Amino acid sequence: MIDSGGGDEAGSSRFVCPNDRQLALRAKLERGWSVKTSTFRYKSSPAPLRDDEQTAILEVIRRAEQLDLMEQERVGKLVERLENMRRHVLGRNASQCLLCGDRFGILGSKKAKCMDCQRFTCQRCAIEATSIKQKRLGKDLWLCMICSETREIWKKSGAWFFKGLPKYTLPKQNSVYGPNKSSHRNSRRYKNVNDDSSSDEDNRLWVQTQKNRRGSNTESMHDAAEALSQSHSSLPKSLGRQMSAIETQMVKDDQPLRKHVSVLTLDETKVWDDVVGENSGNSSQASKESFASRSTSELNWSDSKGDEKRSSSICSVSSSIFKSSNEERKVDSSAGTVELALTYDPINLTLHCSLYRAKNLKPMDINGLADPFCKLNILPDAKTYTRLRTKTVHKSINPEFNENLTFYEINEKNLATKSLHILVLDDDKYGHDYMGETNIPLAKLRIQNTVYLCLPLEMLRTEQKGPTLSPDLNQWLDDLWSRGQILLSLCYNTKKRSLVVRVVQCTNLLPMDNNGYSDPFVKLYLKPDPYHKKYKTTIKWKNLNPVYNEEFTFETRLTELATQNLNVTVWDKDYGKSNDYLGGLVLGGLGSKGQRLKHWLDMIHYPDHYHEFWHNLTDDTQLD
Amino acid sequence: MVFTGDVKFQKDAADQNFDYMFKLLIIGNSSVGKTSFLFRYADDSFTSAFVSTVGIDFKVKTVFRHDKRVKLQIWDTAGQERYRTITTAYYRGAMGFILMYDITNEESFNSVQDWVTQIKTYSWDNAQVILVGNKCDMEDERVISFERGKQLAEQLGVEFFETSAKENVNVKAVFERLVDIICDKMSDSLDADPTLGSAGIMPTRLTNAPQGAQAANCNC
Repeated sequence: MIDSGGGDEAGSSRFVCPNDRQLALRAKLERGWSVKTSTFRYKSSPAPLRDDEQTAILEVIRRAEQLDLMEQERVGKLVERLENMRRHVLGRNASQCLLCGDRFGILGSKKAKCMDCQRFTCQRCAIEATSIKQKRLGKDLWLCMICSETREIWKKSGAWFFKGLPKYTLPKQNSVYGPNKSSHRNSRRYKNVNDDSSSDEDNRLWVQTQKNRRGSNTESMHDAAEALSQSHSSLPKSLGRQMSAIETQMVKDDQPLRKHVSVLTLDETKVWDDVVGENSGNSSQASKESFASRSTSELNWSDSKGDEKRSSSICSVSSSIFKSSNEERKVDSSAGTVELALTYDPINLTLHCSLYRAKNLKPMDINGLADPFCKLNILPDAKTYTRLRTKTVHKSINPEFNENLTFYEINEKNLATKSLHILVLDDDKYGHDYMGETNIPLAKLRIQNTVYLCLPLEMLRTEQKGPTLSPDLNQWLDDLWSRGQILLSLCYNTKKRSLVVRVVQCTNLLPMDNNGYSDPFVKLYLKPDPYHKKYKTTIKWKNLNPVYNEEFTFETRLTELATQNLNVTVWDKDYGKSNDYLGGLVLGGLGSKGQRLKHWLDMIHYPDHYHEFWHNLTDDTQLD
Repeated sequence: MVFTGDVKFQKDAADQNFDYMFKLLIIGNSSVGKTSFLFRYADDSFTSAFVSTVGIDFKVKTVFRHDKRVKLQIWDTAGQERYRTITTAYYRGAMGFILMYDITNEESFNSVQDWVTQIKTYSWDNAQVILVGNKCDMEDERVISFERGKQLAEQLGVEFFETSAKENVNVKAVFERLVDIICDKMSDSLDADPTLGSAGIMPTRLTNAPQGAQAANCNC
């Protein structure tokens, strides 16, 4: 039964050298002598596995790998959740609950000292550590939620056994939705997946997600989890992502300039710490105001090239936490890349940003081009006066900006905690379309004063939906999304020979009345329209997220649609005075770009189908 | 039967609704009944036909123990020497071992010491072991008395069971006991060193945490 695997050539070792006689004989045979050695059977090593055995074993290994991957994801989710908890602590000092920020005292909450971290939380944010042995000492022992969660992870991941967390995969940060995917996505409604959540905690988070997403659609539970992590994560996360972006870029980018990529060996953990501290310590504390200016002078090229050559080393990220998650994360550069150099001047406390160019941006116009410009800001604590923008480069998806932009009053401490956010937008008569963004932690400038970067842009905001990131970003992106969104469904009905527009719903409209609400209705007309049809929806009283589901038909020919525009405006109904304008947009072959154009063309190309999309409302009053 | 087994695997393996995951390994000489033991436990099936295990295999089973759902990934190893390099590779991931001999086979009992050495060599040092004398239904052919097994187990400092995969004796008990032992170890390890948890997950963070003003904001 037992396969001895023993060879018949007893005593021969694996690394046998044939003797002269053998060699001579083989030479006469005129055959490669590997033939002979391949038949050697070695006593010391067992017989090699047969093919079928190998297949069987590989199959088992494959199954095991599947299981491992699932396990890595599971642990990743646990870690993610803990990270979110850590990031969202509210307490700032010893008189407050570390987690919820409630004040202690007679009127306030009861204090509990966490036995692991020795910090104080209120008793609602801690659990009694009953199972712990010291209980018999008669003292009440508490574990704060974070420490107890940490213990749970320690147990659940098996880290207690292996003395360290196993490899894990953080839930994906964001998925980049190409425009072609989005139409499918829209057909699936959020509610379908809502009943899937596994625990109370998840449920709570779900509610938040729902709020954050503003009633938008999600593809699956997984997507929602991503959104969740997006909405919950602020800087540290983007920092991590950024680092991975840089790393990936360094590995795969083969543009010539990349050779000069300068580099940053930065103590990322430190940065993380600072950032977390900053976040929890509520950054509102009279923060160092920074000013910004923009010089439109062309760059001195020889100068910057010299800089690039000087610095070329390798990026090393020391924090293990990032390492493990970065390995799995792939960066999608389909939104294009942006090249820039950052120089920090510690004497004048200025940050110079030389924005060279962007490449391979997503086309927004019907002609396959776009009119991009960049907006730059220092985050968190976005201030309107620290905003800078480049000029618009018209009709290009590879714009050369070559601009120097300068931020003032940036001190060393800012460097540790803040990051430079670059938003690429498409300039448009009716508002700006989102083309991508990237976030650069300034911490790297602490080590090295000049950094050259070529970064992939990320499409964090899917479609034209509202922002889901931190409030900081929302504030900074205000002018893009502040007027809310509208969900429109378009269909060209070939039988009726008419365009059917269904106004589904609006979200996040501006409050115009002094009760904090508006009384919104939507007006629609086609332009030019020989029939001069104008429509209004019903008025939804006291509602900032009205649901209409009302349909309107415009008689027109399919061939004419390409030159027609649909004007949509949202109004607040007022009696006794003129209605307030809440926002509007233009869809059509001539008047729109980006997502709106795509929506229009989809409707033309696929008649008799409903095409549903979210759009941002803009404040352009030319529309009415 | 193979088909149903596969479906079951899919279901059990894909089930993410559990608290802990333990990896267990069954080892012992060839033909002591490791595979039968596992089949009895995971699928509640038994066949007396002997099919030598090729290298390794595993099954997944989720059990409910102390209000916790524990997902067990149970590795079945080939006893044959020729697969040894493959099987030992899996020792390192195992939290518990079921070391099995055949009570009708003296040689398999004598090899127990060798297997213990293997465990010591390849596994984590806090891995838990249970000694199991299988085939206790074959009383007529018994050559290793219960006492000898018990004695050896005490000598090795592990728990001992006599089982029968064929008659379904003590099979479940062995797994449950092993899960319990591991659970105990788990809570012990956390209580003994409470800082272990927090320190281990973000080791650098805690040690590098800035002092002073920042410390008050530390979100441990």
